[in-house]
Amino acid sequence: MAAYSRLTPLFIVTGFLGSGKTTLLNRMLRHPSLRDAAVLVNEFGDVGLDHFLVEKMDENTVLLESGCLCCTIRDDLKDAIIELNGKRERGEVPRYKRMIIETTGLADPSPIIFTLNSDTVIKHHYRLGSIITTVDAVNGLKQLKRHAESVKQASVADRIVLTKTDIAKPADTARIRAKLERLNPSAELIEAVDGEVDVKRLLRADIYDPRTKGAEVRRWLAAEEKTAGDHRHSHDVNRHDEHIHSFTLTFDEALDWTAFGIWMTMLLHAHGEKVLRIKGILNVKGVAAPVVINGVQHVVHPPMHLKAWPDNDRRSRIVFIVDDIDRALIERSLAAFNAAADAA
Amino acid sequence: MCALCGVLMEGPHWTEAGTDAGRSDDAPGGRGRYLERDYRITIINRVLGHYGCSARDWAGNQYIVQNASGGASEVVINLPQLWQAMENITRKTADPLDAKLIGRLEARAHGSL
Repeated sequence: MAAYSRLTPLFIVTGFLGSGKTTLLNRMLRHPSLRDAAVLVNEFGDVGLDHFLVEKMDENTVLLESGCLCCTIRDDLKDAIIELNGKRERGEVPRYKRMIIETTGLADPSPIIFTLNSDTVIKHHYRLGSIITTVDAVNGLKQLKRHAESVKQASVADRIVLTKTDIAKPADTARIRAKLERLNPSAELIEAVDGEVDVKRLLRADIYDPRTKGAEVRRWLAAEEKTAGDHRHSHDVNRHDEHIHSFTLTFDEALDWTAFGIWMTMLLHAHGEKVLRIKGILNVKGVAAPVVINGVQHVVHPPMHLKAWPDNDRRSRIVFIVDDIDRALIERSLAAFNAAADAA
Repeated sequence: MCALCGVLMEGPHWTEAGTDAGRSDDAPGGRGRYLERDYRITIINRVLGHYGCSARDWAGNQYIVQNASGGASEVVINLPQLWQAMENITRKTADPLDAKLIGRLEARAHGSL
């Protein structure tokens, strides 16, 4: 298998209905740096509106015909990727260097991410790149309150594109920004100005790009620090967006890598659906360089060494975004597993 | 697939793959592969002891999970499968947030178990 960083990155573009996902995709596809991209779009319902808008943009477009990209049609997504991969290998389509998958507005992105990681052929040729989520500055707050899918889409994102800021009231834009920063502090928040978005910024700083991975980790940590003190607000448990919360655990002592792996696989086995993201930098016992971890629900990227610490702080710092799991229990559990290794 | 025993092989799990799979064979903990495997099984058994079962290595690339009597066992290739096997064998739920499991690990670390 090729080194992980050399696999074709898969970018997922998601976002709630009417949040500007297709507009964003159209802008992206016009950008010269995406000429080497293959695109999978999804049709929802009888009228393929998305199809009309995107179909002519790229000859590599494949229309998935089974409706919503949820568990029931995972095979369509898998088959579409494998088919396109075969065409690329045989020279029947241009040698695309990245793939973009557009989900429906109602899709929970988790099964899609799971599908990408569960097929052996896909795993040998592709890796998950960034998850890009569009959020509408006018209606976004209402959607986050009412629709669990919307919260999940924002929670698993690496990049959040805030759309319709040109027609939203400045106060509404400020409120949705604050909400998103609290929900997913490590995601980069990018405003689409008059529908335009900096495409290079959307795709750059991939955590597996050796030129940018250090900067990306610094951004995660800085963003979390900025919002760290903002988690003691009151929670209304009847709202979808209040069930999901983020926090950072820090450990002064170096962590045992083996115990960490055992603990995390067990956590994801028991609570994977509720652990939306885990990102962090670990001070691993016996190793000078820090190790970066990055997981989306059940999918965990291979751990990665950085050449050097991004700042003077040598503590392990792990950002969690979870759905109704107690922070103190996670902290105590990880510490207990680490202590079990100490006693080994 | 292994030509001798017919076991389906998968790529290394992330806990065993080393950093940036394909670039380094050593786990981030810095041990060689086999030492790391022995060490992992030692810690796994501290956890599995809570559920009345244990794991051992098979052929350097699989685990055998079995109950205390040895009457029920499963062969698995990675940690996610190991937790499922433990549940199948013991009919208990593998949960690292279980306060009793945490208490047991803490007690052991403090020498009271």
